[in-house]
Amino acid sequence: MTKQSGLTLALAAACLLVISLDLITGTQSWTDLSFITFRIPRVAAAVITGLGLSVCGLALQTLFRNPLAGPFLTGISPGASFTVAMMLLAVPGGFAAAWSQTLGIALAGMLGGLGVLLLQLYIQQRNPGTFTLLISGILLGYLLGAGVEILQSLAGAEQVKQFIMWGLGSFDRVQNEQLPILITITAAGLAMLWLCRFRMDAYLPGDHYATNAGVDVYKLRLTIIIASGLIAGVITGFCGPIGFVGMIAPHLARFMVKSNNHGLLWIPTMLCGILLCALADWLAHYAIPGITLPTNAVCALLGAPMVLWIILQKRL
Amino acid sequence: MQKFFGIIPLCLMLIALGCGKRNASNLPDGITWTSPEYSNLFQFGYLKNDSFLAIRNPTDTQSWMQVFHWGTKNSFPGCTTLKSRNRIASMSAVFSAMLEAIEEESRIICTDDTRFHTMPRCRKRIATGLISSIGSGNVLNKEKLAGQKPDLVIAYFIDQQGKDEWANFTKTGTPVLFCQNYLETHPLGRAEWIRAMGWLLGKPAQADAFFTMVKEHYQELQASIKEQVKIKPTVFCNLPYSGTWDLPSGGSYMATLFEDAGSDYLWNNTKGSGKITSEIESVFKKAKEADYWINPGGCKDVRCITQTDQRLGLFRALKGNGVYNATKISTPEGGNAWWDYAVIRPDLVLQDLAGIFHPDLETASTHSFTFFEQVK
Repeated sequence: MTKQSGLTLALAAACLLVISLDLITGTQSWTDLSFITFRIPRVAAAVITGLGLSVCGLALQTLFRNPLAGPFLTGISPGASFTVAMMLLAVPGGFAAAWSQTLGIALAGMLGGLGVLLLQLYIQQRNPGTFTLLISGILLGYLLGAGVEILQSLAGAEQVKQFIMWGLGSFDRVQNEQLPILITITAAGLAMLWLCRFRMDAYLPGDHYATNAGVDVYKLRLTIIIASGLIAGVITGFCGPIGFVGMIAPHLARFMVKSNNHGLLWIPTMLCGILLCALADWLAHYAIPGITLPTNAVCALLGAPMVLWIILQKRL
Repeated sequence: MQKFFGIIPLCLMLIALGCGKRNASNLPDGITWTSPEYSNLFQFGYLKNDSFLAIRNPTDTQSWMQVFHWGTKNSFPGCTTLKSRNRIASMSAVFSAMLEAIEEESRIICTDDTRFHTMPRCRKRIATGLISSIGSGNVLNKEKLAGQKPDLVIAYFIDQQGKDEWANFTKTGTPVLFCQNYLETHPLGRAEWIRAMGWLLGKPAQADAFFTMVKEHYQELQASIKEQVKIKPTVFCNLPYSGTWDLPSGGSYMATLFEDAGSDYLWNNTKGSGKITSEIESVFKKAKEADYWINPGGCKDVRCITQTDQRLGLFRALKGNGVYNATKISTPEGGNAWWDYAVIRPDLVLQDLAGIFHPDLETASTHSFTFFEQVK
């Protein structure tokens, strides 16, 4: 067994341990209604989020050839936040009138993410290039953020509270009935990215290298953008914005595998993402007895020191 | 130049001392102070023909945050002297409700957001443009507020930043009175601030009479419920937002109301007077078999609750028609009497709750709900 395989197995074991902890802590019975109705979808959502966002982050870091790239920089998360804010804050009568509340929020998030990506594609057609994508992503982020702030300033206190709570991120809101949608869309996005893994290897050294290697750069960018938009949009819609996972998981995987080969990085990246999300979920619920912490904040508490550590190791 | 910079720390120190917490030793001797019965956060006093209203520091109730004075003298040391109290800016619907209860709503010239007022006479004045809005939603236009030239602003703050912003506003020359009644832990303490308003606006007898009526009715109901109730139904409240559920702590005014209404609030043994944050799974484990569910957000029907999260349909209270919400008096613009009128009438809230939990009680049998309605 190679050192890399050993590390991957150790990571898988750590994932299983944290997932088990997250499943069994405070559980009285496996057949209990609360376990089936609340615990299983919550832990499943944490696993899917870790899996989806980590690979999404890996693909976006390759796309931008930028180690800090993620759903935020491309405008996916701001797009999702804007459409969710439109639904929660601008719908007359507030959340009481909102159509099919949770599912509606998820769909709004997905549409927002995809809408921003369509705009990005249009910009790419007019002015192709990685930096154009990055700059337009940041600008769209500011623009949509401004829209969200205006909506917040005009909305009622209860609506603002609901939006703020959504923004804190949580796996608790995911229901069993919603898991098939979350799984199907995430799986579709992951499958699209998996099929691109060799082309992503060729794309990484530069556009000229990729073109010489027979890669249709425009088509590859389009595929990565659509797949990432689907994954990040649906996850943000259902669970709220979950930060740091998409950015940090690929770095941890690279640190372990010591390679930029996407095929080799794939599994460790997913496992790092799952480990981060499951650990954040477990800590959010059980770190302080009787108090639930916002998942997004716990993710940041776990992720930010890791990024700093990687910076100090001069690996960024 | 160096000397100039050397003066700055000295000035800052003097400013800090001048703005420091006030205590009784700063004030003239001989003031007769009266403490309220339930409120912990204000006191009123008089000295011959001069009146005083002291607002206590919410984080240290032994010290005074503000002391206001009005009467014959031009000033008193340690006090903010109110020259006039005719044009009032009310920064919350509940302050407007207090003023209306003592028939002084005509002094209100503007408010934070007119949409959230439900008191009838205030609404009439809003409709005729006599009370204007200086904010919209969550943003207050303080420049517009200063332009209205109020004699006094009655406001509240949530955090230090909010307090500092209001302190900055006083530089316009308009005093700001902090009415922190939302921090009171007893429902009657929240209502008792009407006495502070009455004292401030020269209507102490009317305000006292109003509060005494509320207090006596509350105490009468409380005693009657205590005597008659043998079995206490279990109760929980609020609605989760994105899987997170905020519940009032055991020392909160809401927990006191549940207790006084003869119910067993499931989070009664938690500490503090604020809220506790829990997740939907924990609340379900504890409250799935509860008899009653009170105030599920803004929902007026069961469909709204299950649309928020369809798992909420599993609660026994929802299946057994035990869900009630204080949405009976609301305005099309989003105002709800729960946030203004109910604060000054906790006796009617208690009567409603007793009617919900114990419909066969003597006090409840002939009572029609003021604030609550069944969520069907």
